[in-house]
Amino acid sequence: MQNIIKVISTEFLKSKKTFAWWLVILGAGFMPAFVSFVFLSKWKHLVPQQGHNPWEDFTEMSSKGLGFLYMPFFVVLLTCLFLNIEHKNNTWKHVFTLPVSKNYVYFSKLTALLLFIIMFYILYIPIWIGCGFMVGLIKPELQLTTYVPDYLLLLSICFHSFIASLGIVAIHFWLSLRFKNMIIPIGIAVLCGIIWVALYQGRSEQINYFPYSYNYSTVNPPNWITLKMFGVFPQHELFSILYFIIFSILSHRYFMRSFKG
Amino acid sequence: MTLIETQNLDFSFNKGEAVLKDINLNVKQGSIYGFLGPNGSGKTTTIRLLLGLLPCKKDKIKLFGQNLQADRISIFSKIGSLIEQPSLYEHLSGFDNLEITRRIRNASKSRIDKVLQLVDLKPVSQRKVREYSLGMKQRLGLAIALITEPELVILDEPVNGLDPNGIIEIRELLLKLNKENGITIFLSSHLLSEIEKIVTHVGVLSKGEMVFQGRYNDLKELQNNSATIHIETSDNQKSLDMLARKYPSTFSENSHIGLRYQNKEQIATICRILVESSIDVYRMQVVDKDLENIFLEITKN
Repeated sequence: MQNIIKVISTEFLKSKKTFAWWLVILGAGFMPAFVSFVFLSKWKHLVPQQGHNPWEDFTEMSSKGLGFLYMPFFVVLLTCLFLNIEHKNNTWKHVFTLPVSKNYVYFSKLTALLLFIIMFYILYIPIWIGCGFMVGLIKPELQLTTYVPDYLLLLSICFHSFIASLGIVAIHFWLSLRFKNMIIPIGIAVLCGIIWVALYQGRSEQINYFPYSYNYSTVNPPNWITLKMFGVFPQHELFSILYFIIFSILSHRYFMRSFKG
Repeated sequence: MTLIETQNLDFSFNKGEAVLKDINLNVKQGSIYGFLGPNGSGKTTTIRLLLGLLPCKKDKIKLFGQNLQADRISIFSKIGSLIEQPSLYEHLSGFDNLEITRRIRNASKSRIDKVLQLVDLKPVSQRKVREYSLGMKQRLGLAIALITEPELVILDEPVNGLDPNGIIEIRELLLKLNKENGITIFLSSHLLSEIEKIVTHVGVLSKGEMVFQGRYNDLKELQNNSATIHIETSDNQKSLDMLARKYPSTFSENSHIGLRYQNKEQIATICRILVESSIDVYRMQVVDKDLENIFLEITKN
């Protein structure tokens, strides 16, 4: 256990001074900053009616913005950048001659990547709250300082967004191992983004099986499909977990048997 | 004790195209083993096999007497390696590069300072590796290989691309490691002259086959055995006839005759034979083949 923690810690050290860190920091700040900008520039239309909590609008706008392509592309880019560290520096051969099993190497990379995504949410929450209160201070008419946000809802959105991202994480982890050139996985993500928009516009029921749609389905479930819940998870989030398991097994097999770096 | 042992090691990337044929390496503890061969002879492929970077059949490779496939982690904890260009995280400092390997190999923190001093990179350890020269990168790669005081160091072309000063520095460092720390060194090179000053044992690879393996002195012996005497006289044909009776290896070449050199007494005998036959001797010269030529001959054949 101590060993795997050490190996994971080296993954964080390897990512030092790479764009992956900036992506997490800027990515966490971008959406709250963008929503704050919208609130400040369109404040007259957003002044809440008597008794309405303006944080609900702030939450809705942020979470929909997060779910609409933003989060899938963030995950795709982060995954590609993360694995590209070894590809770019041609360091796989060094990694494989260290006295550590390939299993450890695989799981430490995947775990470190998931921790990076969790770090995004850890940064996103305080930045989002801070931005909301700052907007409230600048435009008191918006009453964001009079009311408080629903913190539980915020945590719940982040948790479900993370679960909805798992499918894409595993798919792109596998793709980034298969292709050294990160343009290929990114190109596939762009294509899948276009397919998602088409499925959404066409009100297709197949959207439930398409992992690139899960983030948006989490914050804005498609109204043409009956939402099936399994405990706290809607159906598409369970599919996301399933995709994660299937593609993790695929990439693990590939990594252990064929991957030479 | 034998640290590296391969038994009839074969390898091919594509079916029917053997890159390595029947390689039987034998590297003894405490030696500096020079693994020589022209570019494309299979040196790097052999090293990749030794380090488990390419798949090979079971029981073909033994390191420290252990089977590579079965005891990979235990074996790698005793080995430091440097394959082709050093694998370095160029966006990180030299120190961070060492720290990554140190953590995984469970070495003490003080080892970083020690190896940095050893390879003379301490003053630049906080600089990004992408700002390092090729020589500095090679030295850092070597420092990474030495972070845990390994028993065996495997180096693939460690002096490749270095200027003469860099080559001398690395050579001195390897000698020091072998003499003072007792580290066994296995290093490959395509130039004999680069490593002949430090190796104790040599293996020569040509077109995927081992054409020579033994002590460096055995290779020197080959050099001695290939020395010839060139003789120019007033009558080369007559000299050839006379000397061929005593020395069957005598041959005629351009303006001189030649025969295999045995010892200095042989020169006196030849002189006497020729003078007693009233043949004037204009030139008698012992011609050595340098090791580089022997190496070329071995690999050509």
